[in-house]
Amino acid sequence: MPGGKERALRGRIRSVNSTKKITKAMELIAASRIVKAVGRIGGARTYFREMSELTRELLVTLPSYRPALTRTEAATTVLILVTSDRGLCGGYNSAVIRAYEEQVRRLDSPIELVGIGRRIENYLHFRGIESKVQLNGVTHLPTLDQAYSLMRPIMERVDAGEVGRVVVISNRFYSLGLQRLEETTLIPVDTSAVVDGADDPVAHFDFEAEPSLETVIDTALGQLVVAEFFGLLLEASAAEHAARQRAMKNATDNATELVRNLTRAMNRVRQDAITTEITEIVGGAEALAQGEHAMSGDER
Amino acid sequence: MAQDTFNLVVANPELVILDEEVESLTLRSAFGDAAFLAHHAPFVGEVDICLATVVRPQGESFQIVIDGGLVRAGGNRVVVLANDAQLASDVEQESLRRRRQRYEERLEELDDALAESELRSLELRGSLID
Repeated sequence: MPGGKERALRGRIRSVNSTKKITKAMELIAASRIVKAVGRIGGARTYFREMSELTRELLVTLPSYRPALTRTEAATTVLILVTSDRGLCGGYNSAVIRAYEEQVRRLDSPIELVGIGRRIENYLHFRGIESKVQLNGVTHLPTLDQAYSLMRPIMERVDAGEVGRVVVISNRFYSLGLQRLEETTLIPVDTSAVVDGADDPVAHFDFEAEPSLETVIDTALGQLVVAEFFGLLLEASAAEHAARQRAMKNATDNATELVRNLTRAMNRVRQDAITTEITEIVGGAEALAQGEHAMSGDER
Repeated sequence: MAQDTFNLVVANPELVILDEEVESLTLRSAFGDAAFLAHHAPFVGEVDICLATVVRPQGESFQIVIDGGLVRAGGNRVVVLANDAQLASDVEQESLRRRRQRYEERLEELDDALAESELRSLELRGSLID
C-alpha cells in the first residue's frame, strides 16, 4: 500500500526533529556555560600572574636556594588525566586517552595515575588499570577546594622524595575557536622559565622577608603549583563546554540535513502515490467510458 | 603633596576580591600584627588566618577574612595572595553552615594542620555572624 511508506518517513522525520530539538538545547546550554567558564579563567588570572611574578623575584633574590618543588630526583611520575563526566563532546576525552597511551609508551619510569572525570574512570576500569586517586564531578564546575585536596597530598609526597614529576594531560582553552590538548609539567617547577626575566629591572628586589626567604619561596611555589593546576581545571572545563557546543552544533546541522533529505523522499513517495492513483482513476474512467460506449453500440 | 594612599590588591586563586586605592591595611603576619601604609619598604611575608582591616582614603574602614597566604609590598603597591579570602560583609550564615558541614564530613581524611586551620577559618567567620 503506497501510504505506508509515506507514514514511515513522516515518523522518522518527527523523530529526527525531536532529536534536533534536544541537540539544539544542549548547544545553547553549552554556549551559556562557556561564557561563565571563560569569566572564571579571567578571574583566576590575577592571582597566578602575581604569584609567578613574586616567585620569580624571590628566586632571583636567592639563586642559591633549591626548593623541593624544583628538584627531580625521585623516579615516579604522577600523571593527572583530566576528562569530562559526560560524553557528547566530540574528541575531547579520546584526545586525553590517546595522549595518556602515548606517555605510557614513552616513559620508562614508574607511573601513578590520578583520574579526573567518569570517562577516564570507565576507560581505566575497562582495561583493569588501577588509578591512585579518582575524582569525579570536577570539570563541570571546578572548585578551588578540589584543586587543593588533589594537589596537597601529591606535594607532600614530592617533599618526602617519593614523587619526582607531576604531569597534567588536559584540554587547554585558548579561545572559543581554539582548544588544544596539552601536557603540562606542574612539578618540577620550571625555574628557568620563571627566572628568565632576571634582566628586568624590577627583578632586583631587596626584600625583607618574614619568617625567612626560604620559607616564603616554598610557600609561594606550593601556591603557584595549586594555582596553575586550578587554572588548568578551569580551562579544561571551558574547553569541555566548547567541545560540547561544537559537537551539538554539528549534530543539529546533520539533523537539519537529514530532515531535508527525508522530506524530499517523503514528497517523492507521496507524489508517486498520487500519480498512481490518478493513473488508476483515469484508467478506470476510460474503462468505464469504453464499456458504456460498447453497451450503447449494442443497443443500436 | 606626597601621595598617602597605595594600591591594594587582595586575590585568591579564584578571583580578585579587592583592587583599589586605600590608606592602610592591617593584618596578622607570622610574627604578629603588621600595618601597611603608603610607600612601604619592599617586603614579603606569610599571612596568618586573620581578619584584616582596610581603611579607605575618606577614613571609612572595612574588614576582609584572609585564610592565610602571602603578602608582598613594594612600589607603593601591596598584594595579598590569599589561600582564600572573603569580604567580612559577604560572610553568610547559609554558606558557612555548608562549609562547616563539609569540614565535618571530611574531618577524618584531613591531616591535623589542615583540620586546625580550617577550624580556625570557620570560627573566625562564625564570630562575624554571632
